[in-house]
Amino acid sequence: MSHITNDFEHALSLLRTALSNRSAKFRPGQWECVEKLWKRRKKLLVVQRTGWGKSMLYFLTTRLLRNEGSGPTLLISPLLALMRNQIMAAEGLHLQADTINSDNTELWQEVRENILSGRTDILLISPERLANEDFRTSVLIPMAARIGLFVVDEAHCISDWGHDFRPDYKRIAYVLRSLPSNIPVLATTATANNRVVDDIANQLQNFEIIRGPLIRESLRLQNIFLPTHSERLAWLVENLPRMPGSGIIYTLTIRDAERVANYLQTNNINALAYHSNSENRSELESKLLNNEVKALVATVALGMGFDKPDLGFVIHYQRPGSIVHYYQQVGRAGRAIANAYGILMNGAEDEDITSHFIESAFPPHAHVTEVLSALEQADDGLSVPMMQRELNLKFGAIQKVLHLLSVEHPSPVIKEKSRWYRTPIPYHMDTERIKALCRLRREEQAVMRQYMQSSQCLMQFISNSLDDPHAAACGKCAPCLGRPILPEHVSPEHVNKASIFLRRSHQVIEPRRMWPPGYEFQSTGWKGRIATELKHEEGRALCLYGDAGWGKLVQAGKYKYNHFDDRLVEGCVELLNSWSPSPSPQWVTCVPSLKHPDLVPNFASRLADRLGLPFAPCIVKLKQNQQQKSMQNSHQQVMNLDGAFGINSQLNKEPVLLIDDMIDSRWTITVVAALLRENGSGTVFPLALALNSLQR
Amino acid sequence: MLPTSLSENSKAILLLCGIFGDKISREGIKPFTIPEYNRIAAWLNDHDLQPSDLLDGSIREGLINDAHLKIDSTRLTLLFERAGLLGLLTEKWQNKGIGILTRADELYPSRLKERHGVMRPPILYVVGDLSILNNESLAIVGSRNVDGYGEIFTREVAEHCVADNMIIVSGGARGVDRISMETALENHGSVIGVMADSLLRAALSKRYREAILDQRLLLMSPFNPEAGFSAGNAMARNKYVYSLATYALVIAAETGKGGTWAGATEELKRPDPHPVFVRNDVQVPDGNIALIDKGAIAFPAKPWETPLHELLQTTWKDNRKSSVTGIQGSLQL
Repeated sequence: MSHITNDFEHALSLLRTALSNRSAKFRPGQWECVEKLWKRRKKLLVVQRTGWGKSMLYFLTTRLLRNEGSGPTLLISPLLALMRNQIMAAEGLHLQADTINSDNTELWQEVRENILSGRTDILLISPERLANEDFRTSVLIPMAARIGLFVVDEAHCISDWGHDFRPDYKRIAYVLRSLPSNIPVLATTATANNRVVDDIANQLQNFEIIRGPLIRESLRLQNIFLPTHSERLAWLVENLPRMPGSGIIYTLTIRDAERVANYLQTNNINALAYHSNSENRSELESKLLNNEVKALVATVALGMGFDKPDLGFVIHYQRPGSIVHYYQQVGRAGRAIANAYGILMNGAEDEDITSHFIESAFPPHAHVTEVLSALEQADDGLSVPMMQRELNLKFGAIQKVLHLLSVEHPSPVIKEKSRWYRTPIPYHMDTERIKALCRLRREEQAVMRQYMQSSQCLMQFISNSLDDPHAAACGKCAPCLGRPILPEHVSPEHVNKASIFLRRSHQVIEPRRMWPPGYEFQSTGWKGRIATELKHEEGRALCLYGDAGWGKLVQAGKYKYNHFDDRLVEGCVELLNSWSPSPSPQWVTCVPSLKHPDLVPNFASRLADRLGLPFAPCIVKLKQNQQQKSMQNSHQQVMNLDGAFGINSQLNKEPVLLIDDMIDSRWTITVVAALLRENGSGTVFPLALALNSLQR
Repeated sequence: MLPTSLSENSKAILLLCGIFGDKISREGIKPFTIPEYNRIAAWLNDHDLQPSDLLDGSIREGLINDAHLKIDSTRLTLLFERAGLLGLLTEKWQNKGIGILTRADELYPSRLKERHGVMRPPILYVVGDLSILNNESLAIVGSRNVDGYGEIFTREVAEHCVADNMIIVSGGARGVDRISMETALENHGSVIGVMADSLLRAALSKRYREAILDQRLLLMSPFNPEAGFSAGNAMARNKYVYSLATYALVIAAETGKGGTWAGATEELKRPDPHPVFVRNDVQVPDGNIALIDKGAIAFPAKPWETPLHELLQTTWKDNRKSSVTGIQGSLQL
């Protein structure tokens, strides 16, 4: 008995050292976990809300094991760096934490020596690194000869029932299964309902589940239904300045993140967009961490592991697809402060967007068959661009297939360097499981609809949906208080201002730099880098296709009236005024179509008249090719355009405005502009009515 | 199908005996050899324990404390510290379709178990369908550099085997091994390849992939799937080629040297040798004749009309009778 007491006292004094707090105590359950890992080499799945102290578990256990001569801890986490407060705790315990990732190759040798000489206490690597074959074989395995503790953060990513399922995590699940019982393992997550926990436990085998309450006491939740973008933008402008500290505004799509951030900026609110295409993501994160911005307007890309204990609010501009997502995102607020806001707004478009994500989550059977048979035929594997060349499939569609295949275990395909290879593993697509997953996503969508309408405690609704046995009314949310926390209405002036902004949501069209890799034009011999003298200038689109504002008008013109409204002409004139391309275009032409021969020329000539410029329909369609939108990837799209257009007259040498109705891949505009330039026109400024793209 | 998860017994055997590659061997890490492992297994048996019990540190202490075994405690500790490494490696191999069988597995090939007993490999890495192990089969062995006569003969026999539903067993090396293997596969026959190196690479090669998917090719190796070529491993592998086949045929051997000679004479010296035939038509190397002196028999002359395995069976029986008489006769002298 007494040595157990001693163990406890020893661990407690280390905890106090780590926190530099002499009277610190273990959170409920913490000591039990440490003891199981340290003394009994157990395998644990710990489900506790963020902020409970999961990282303290692995720091303490690492220290205790290292003191007894064990090897270093291998920590697999999507976080590339430990957060500041974690680093402090690690330093307090004199733990040397090293990381090897794609950004610090110059340190690999040093880290390797640290590990081999026993200096490293914790080695941190990302799941992507672990799944990378070359990295695992040549870097990780040579230094993995004596791992003392295996830790996996964000373990819910293992389950494909959950939303954050990542293929790299599937590999981790199998690594954990292959570990013998003489090595302690800790898997942690902050969000998981019973279904996900059961799935993880089932995949990991022989793990003990330890589960704490998920409720977050400082959060004040409220749901607000504002169907239009302009109302929600207006609401943000009116209410953001009242919010405490800084926070996150979540949107469902990249374009909404950009647009919301843009509008807030024009209203002197310091907000920046954050999404998977942002180049400076860590810089943006640190701006939020240091309260240098009021808010980041982010997609799900700002997610796992982002930890700002004093985050003042999380506002949803659109309704997420599931309660799990919602809890994860709203739960980032108020971790270490007494009061924080969680506001969920709901627009008319949410259902369509989340449905689109559900419908496009899995590749169709035919795509899978095509990719597999291409790989089977290949002598030495195929890279994704090589597959694009051979198959009429989009980059994204090919990725989706490879994703689906590579999570199988054993896997029918593997990746080495940049190429994919077929393995001798038979594959049958599990359509029943895919159907079941889609059904589940629909159910989750329905639960979100119910949540939106809920008149009972919102926190309790969330806790119940997440199967938290400790669920109880929070007493702080709008339904608990019986009144709104923040106003549910917005002033008409602000709504008007926002709707004017929305109509002006002009889109930039960047010129393409390269022809598709490996493609050479039969008609003109173009290949490789697109020559500067053939490139078009930066162009503009009036709006996003189908969007609020101009979008609906374009849609109706194209598919209903076969005529674009004069208001669109005025919109383009306004756009040109604010854009003022230079050198200023002196004539107007347009992209021809055999299917709608008059639609675009008619619009272009009205616009030319209004601008007082000559209109010259000098581009002709030489052959009836496939509809460009049925071409799935760059290679196929360009092949379809090769030789499709010609020039029928002597060209004006002045700069030209090139009109099209819709721009999608930009290849048509790129090819036509190159033809114009090659035939002697001046610089080409593309102007389209709508840009068609839906990106998460 | 192959099992995709390992039992705790298998994991313990892998920790004890698994060689995880040159790059990762550290000073002091020497996996246990088969005789060493057998002593540990005997100790476990005496104490009514299984290999998985060794995953418990206190049981390992008991093992170390048994002075008869002379087990170095540091060595044992280092081997068991490879737990994380084991997880990373076995997951990688299994993900690429390599199955892992240890002595503790029910699926471990019974022919190896019966013939090699406690000296059978503790670990086998396998790719493909194990069910073809139990069919009538012919091992075809010979040197890496075979002449035209040998090559033609190899092809003819392999084709005939396919026609008669006999499985080819081969070592997967260059020369006779690969000729026999590929001839059988090209003719849609079935093959067992016992590899001495590079199992992983072979499994992923386009040449073999299709046949594995078709369940006509089983590749296996007692060595690390990523091991490179080693003469020692190649030599050690030969006996398993003989053991997995019902009959063996030596295409070309050099007297007294090389793997083919060593493998054939090793088989002939066994108390229970499988029938070893040698090619004895035209232009055969002297090693072939010398093997006949050592107890091998000439492969029946063409044409091979009865089903091949029956022909081999009868030839072997007839020859045995005469050789047994021969011995008795000589005793009478």
